[in-house]
Amino acid sequence: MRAGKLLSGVFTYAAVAVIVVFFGFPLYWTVLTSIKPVELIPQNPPVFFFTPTFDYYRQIFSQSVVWRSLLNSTVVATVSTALAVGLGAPVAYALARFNFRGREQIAFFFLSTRMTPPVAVVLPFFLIARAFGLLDSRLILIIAYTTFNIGFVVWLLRGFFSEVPTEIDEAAMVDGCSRGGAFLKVVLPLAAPGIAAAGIICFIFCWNEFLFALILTSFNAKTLPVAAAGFVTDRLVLWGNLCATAVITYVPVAFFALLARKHLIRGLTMGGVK
Amino acid sequence: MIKADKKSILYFVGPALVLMLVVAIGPLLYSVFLSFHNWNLAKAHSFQFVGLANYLSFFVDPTIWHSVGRTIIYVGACMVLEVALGLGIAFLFDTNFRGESWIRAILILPMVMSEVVVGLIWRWIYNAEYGILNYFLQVLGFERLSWLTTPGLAMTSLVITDVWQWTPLVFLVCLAGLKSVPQDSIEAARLDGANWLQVQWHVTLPAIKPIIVSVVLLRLIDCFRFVDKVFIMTYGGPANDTALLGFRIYIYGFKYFEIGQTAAYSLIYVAAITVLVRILIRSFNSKAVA
Amino acid sequence: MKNSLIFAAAFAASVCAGSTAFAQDKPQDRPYDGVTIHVGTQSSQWADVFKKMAPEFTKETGIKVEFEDISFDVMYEKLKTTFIGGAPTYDLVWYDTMWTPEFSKSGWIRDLTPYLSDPKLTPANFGYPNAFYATEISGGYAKDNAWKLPAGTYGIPWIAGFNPLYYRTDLLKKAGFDKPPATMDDLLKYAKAMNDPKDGVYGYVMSAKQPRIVYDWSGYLWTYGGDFFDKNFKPIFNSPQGVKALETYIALGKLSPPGVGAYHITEEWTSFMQGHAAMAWTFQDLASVARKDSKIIDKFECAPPVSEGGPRVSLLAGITASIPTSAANPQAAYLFAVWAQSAERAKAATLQGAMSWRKSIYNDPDVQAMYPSVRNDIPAKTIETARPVPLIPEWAAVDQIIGEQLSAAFAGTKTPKAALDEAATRVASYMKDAGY
Repeated sequence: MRAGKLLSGVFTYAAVAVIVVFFGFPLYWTVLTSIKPVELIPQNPPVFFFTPTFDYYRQIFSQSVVWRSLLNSTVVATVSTALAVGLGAPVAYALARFNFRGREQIAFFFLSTRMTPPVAVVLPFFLIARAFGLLDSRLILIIAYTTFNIGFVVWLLRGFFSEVPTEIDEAAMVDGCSRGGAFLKVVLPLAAPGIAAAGIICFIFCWNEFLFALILTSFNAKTLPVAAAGFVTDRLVLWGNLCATAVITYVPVAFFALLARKHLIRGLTMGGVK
Repeated sequence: MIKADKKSILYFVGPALVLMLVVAIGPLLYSVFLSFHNWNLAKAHSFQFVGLANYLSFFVDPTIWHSVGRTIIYVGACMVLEVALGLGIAFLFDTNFRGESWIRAILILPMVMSEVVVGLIWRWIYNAEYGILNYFLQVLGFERLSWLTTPGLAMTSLVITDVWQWTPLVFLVCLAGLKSVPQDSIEAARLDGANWLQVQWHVTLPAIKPIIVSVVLLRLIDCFRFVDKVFIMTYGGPANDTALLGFRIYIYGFKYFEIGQTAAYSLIYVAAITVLVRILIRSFNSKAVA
Repeated sequence: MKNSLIFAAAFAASVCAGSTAFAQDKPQDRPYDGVTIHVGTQSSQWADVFKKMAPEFTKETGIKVEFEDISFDVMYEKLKTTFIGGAPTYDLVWYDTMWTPEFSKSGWIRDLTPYLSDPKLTPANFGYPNAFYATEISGGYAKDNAWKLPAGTYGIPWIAGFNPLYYRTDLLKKAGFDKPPATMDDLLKYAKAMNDPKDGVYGYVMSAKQPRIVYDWSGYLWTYGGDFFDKNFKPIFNSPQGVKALETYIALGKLSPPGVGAYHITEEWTSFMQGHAAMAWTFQDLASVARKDSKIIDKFECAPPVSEGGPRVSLLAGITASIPTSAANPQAAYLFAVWAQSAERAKAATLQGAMSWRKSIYNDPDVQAMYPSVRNDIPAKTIETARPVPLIPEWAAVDQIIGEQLSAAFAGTKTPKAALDEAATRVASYMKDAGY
């Protein structure tokens, strides 16, 4: 028994080590490049030890466009994540719980906005935004991202809600909750890991979306991915600046993920709720 | 499943549905309208009704069929690897080994970067001459490879990058699913004398099946759609080996600016994915019955 | 040729004197004080040069300048969508010259002829067009031009792009050559002799990633006497000359570092600057970058491109500055363009890495010190005989079609002949649809 446990422990850590190397190395390499002196960056064999430089970060943060796009990305991602989850979760609940005519059609309709290749809708979107005077505003990005992400939220949370046994909301309703109350007070907390995962992923989708941000925004509402692409010149890629920007894009999401960590970890038991 | 009154359905579904109808229907209808027209600003005849010609050209264009084939390989490989790896890692992390939550926070970072930046960084990693990957291969005594220019290998390179970027999504969702499996059913199975594997197979996996299905569908849809990496890393090369359908449609739309044709191709594409997704859902559901 | 250089030098002197006077009498008259112009620029080290200059312009004229960096990879779609929608996002755009024909023919950018003849907007000594190289590719179309483009001036030449041959002096010497290669056969012979992968040095380096491969290859096509189209816009690049050019290109690719099929200019330059390649045929500004930050600072030189008996034809490209039709402040934007390309600023910008097309700077000793690529006979034998890719509005699509086939031949899945034939057939059908 003991030997078996030890073996499985060794196996676990060996597997974790492989995973960390595969997923972590490119990240590590990005961080390393963001503090590497410019003459060492293209060297082969690569240099792993050197006196770090923070010039790229200094250069980046001296540009107002980076600050502005950091703010834009934060606002756009936060607001549209909140909207997508807030609007999508009730739909997911209804689809998981209620049996009504046209249910699958509605479910599909939500998904279909996500299936369309962006290139096909971005031009109509641009023309409509122009007609309403919404070009280069955060609002247009919030609207666009919310629409794309609702479909995602609906489909993901539908799975999570159907994992919660129906008896639970029925018990809550017997105890005097309305349908909405049962959803908000009982089912939603039970599906907290799902909500957290959906929220993180929505945030990330908004955070790294490129094409719509490129086409719909310019001077005012530009987001980080588009600003980061600005470090790619036709002649030379400014690797240091690009990697430093990549690191900056990690930090808020890592922070957000750490905040949501508790919700992801909580293994709720039925007994805890009843 | 409950048969609910119309009012509560309206409350739950209404707001989101209205937003979707308002925002998504306009561009969609506009796309349908465009798909029946020939609109290319660079060409002499600028805007004219062409009926189904745009749709028909999809089916007779050999480059499109080539792309369809390449896309099936790409999406198939990505999906199998991402789902298997993501699910496997989720089970591993569900054991709550020490340091799990910190490693998890790192693991989700690959999907944080935009496809463009991911593509650039990997193009550099894959660089045959001074890339880090070939350096490691050489140190370990292997042959250096031309990752992005060898037919066949280029596709593998793209798949590896996609697996790197998006396995974390599958992992994160599956882990959340595992975390929300009611503990008492697991306890009950344990008390009945089931070992870890049996518990996972008979209790956990069936419980999170709806979640796995939805993440598979969502990944599938996005895998078809996200092609920015292709532009950055291979631009469809070598010899159209990595010219995925999404890439082709982008070329038609944004390099040729064949706006009507792009709309028609996109609608065919949406229809094809819809059929595919429906088949998948049905097969998942029928298995559940069996 | 000598004459024209002397003329340019004399001209430079007069322009320099004039522009100072121009700057001095400005403050009395600031009609656009307080206006903000929006500049959309291809992200580049050049753009940064002008960003640094802009505050000075603001001080002189009261016009504020805001910049948006757009990556080259997505510049075309970004600009085109903006133009189709008629959005007044940009007052001035700096972009690759290959798109000027399309933008001008579609009516998306302004004909600057009235601005050029307006003394309030253009100082007398600006000297357009004679004081600049490459006016045609930058949007200056003569009446009844061969390309059937609308006559007018649709852009001011902004950043130079021409292609001398780069070679490593130390490696040439080691291999026993005492002068740079003169013919295509020489090029192959030299590359073979200097190719030493075991020692980490390759004979050549190129950038053969799509869509770049079309531009990289074009010089070979022209040098062998081929061309993309004939007078009636019929594709002829699959001629024997074209096939020979592609064969040579592929042969040189085999003497280049592995994986050049995925190289854009970025990787090509890095390779050369790291000392991994003995020769490269690429843009003039590599010279200034490699003289500053590289492992080969004093180990390389530039020469005119090779010749096959005929003229030494290489690729002429660059950046042009245009004013969109939908611009909100076209005059203020124009003032900035003219200000930034005055002889004095053009030199200053060139010395900071944004090489101007203004002829006067090519004889300047400071510029020559920084750019080995403009010394001796190089401008005369490179710029003046260089050629742009076809100035047709359909180029973006044609470029895509040719690039795919070139890349297939480069990867070895098709023979050069088969690839070029296929490309020619497709281009012909595309051009027919387009009404040629």
